[in-house]
Amino acid sequence: MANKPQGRNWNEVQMAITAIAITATLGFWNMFSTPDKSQAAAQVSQTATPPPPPPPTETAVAQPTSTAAMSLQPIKIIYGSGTVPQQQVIQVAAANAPTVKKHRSSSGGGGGGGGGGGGGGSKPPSTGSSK
Amino acid sequence: MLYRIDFKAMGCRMIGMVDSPSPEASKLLAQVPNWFDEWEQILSRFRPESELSQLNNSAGWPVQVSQTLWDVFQTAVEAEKASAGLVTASVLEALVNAGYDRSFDELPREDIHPPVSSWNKVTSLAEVSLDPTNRTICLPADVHLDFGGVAKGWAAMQAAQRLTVNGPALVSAGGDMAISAELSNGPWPVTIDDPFRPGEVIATLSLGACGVATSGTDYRRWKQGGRWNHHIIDPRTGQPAQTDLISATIIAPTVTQAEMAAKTALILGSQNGLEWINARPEFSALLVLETGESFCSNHMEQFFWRS
Repeated sequence: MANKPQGRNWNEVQMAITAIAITATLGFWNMFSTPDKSQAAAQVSQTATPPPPPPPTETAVAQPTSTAAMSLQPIKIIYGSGTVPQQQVIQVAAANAPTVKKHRSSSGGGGGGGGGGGGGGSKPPSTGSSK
Repeated sequence: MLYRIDFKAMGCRMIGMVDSPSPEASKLLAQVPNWFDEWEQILSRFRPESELSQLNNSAGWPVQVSQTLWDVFQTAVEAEKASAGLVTASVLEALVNAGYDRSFDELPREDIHPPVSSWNKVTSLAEVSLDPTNRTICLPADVHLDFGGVAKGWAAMQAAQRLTVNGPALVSAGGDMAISAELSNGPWPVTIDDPFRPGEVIATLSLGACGVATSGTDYRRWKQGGRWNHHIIDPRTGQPAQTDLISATIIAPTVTQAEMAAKTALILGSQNGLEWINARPEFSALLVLETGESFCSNHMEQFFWRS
């Protein structure tokens, strides 16, 4: 007879512990889940995104002394102006593969027109990072 | 008549052009890929059987080398002297440490190379023992060579010299150009690539006999240990150069000088690089910053295309 109330008390203690455990779990879950997700997302975007050359919208020509950034956005400026004269170009194949085709070279970007050669002609040779 | 050939060699796009009325010009031009193949077989660090690889594997021992390797080595020594040690061929260890351990076409752009724990200053080529009489080179045990842009520039210059028997010639090795003389009807038009917009140009140049080269951090780059690396090594640190420039284009009397000056400017950064160029009137430069700003050296203006 004396054991009965003790058993009821034990059940209540067990229920209380369970409730606290569930509450704590949910609490911690809510506390930590959101920051983890955002950090993970940031990490993913960091590894997946190539190093960003700045958005290409603006370039400024500056004097050597004014190295401090005038603008963080590059402007596209074409140095040089006018039209590159047309010249007949004969494309030569490497030795052992003698096919030759003719076409006309065309303007290669002088004059601020965006740089691309037009009309299917041969573009002037270009210099850039080794490609 | 302007003859042109396009091909790939040394991991880059190559162009050869000759202005000549003679059909012989096209026959000689067709040989250019063979010349480059021959030079690559000697000078490539990516071919285990190349003469350069054998020299690198024999560090500590004197090795008799071919005239080609000897000449390119001498060009590299000149570049190191002219750049006060900033441009040196003894950067192979540093490049491998930075993750550039195979040809760029095969190099994964994402993290597979663990970063090294320590970086070492690069040893100067002055430490290399040379015997000009027997044409032998003895590399110190810790020195291994990568000729990189020096080899391309040297090869472009050799090819242009050979082609010029038929008329004015231009040879571009991945954008490093040797021009033997003006075209019969005026200067050569040469464009400078926009480092921010592939396929577009930022300038058109008007060039006679000279060398042109562009060095940049925009193309040959990869990720290592969470950071982006590139192939321009600063020998003072043994690490990819920390620079505010994304590209440097130089016009110089020869393409090997232009290549050396472009790398030097890039390593020095915009302020010091421009001062360095302006102190040498034989060089002209167009420098583009990571911010998109661009700077011209004192003598650059005369080379922009006008018609």
